[in-house]
Amino acid sequence: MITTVTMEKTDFLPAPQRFEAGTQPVSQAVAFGEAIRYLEAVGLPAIEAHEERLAERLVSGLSVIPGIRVVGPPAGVSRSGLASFDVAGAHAHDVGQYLDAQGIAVRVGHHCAQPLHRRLGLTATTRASTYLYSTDDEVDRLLAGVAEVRAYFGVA
Amino acid sequence: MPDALAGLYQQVILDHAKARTGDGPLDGADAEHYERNPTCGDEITVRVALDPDTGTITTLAWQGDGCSISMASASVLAELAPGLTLAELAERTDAFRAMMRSKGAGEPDEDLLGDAVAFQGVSKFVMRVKCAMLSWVAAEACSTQLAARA
Repeated sequence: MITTVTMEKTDFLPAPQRFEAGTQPVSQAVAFGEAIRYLEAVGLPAIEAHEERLAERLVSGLSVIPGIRVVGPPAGVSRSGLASFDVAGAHAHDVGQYLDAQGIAVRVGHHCAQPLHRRLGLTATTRASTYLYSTDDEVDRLLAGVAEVRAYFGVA
Repeated sequence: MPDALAGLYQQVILDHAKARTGDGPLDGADAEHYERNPTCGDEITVRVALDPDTGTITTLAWQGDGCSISMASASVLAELAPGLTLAELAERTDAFRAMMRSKGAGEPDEDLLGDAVAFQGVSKFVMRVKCAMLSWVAAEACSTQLAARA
């Protein structure tokens, strides 16, 4: 922010105010506080436990579907609530399209990790993630959808 | 099968994605072009060989890695191209591009495009249009090389 501006010269406020021109993100700051209160009311340990349980359901469920290769830690190893996987014979974009048609949103591609994918011998993977608002039923719907993909594309 | 997919994955497309025409190297190609879609990582190298007497395409071959739409499209193109002059290929490429830009509204000419009309449904899925265009764009670049040499 400035104090005085003329055609010849600009005077700024001292730091940090001089770097904070314009409208402050007031609504975001208020919402951020509310979000933290919400998470603390639910309880961070409870969220972590829920996420880990869903991750285990996701990874162990994916691991037993024929043709599915989960990348990253295997089932039984603690991980955050997401898993990237390869579907043998079906490209991740086709897998994503198939799941999308069932109302299931996943991310597909190299997930900003091209060298890792190359190292794993993959060009793209499908990634499903869970959080505190995800349910067992939703994980099961994803698993059911993934189990159908290879047959749909004739590669089962 | 989810109904929403029926328009996208026509049986013709699924068949071509599995049993691919023109998938492989081509010795003695007259032109070669590599094309890549950076957003999804799909890549393809298209090679074209011409009959030196007539100037028509004898073979269009390709090697690539990508989704079923891009691979099937390359297969359909490899089936369509032999026997065509570069001008005739350009005419079909223009028709294919117009269809892919139609957002499902176009009425493709089956006499001109053959199996490629199956991609009409893909034009409704804007994210997948580039998949379908990949090999055609690479073939177009081959034609440009050949025309510059002629």
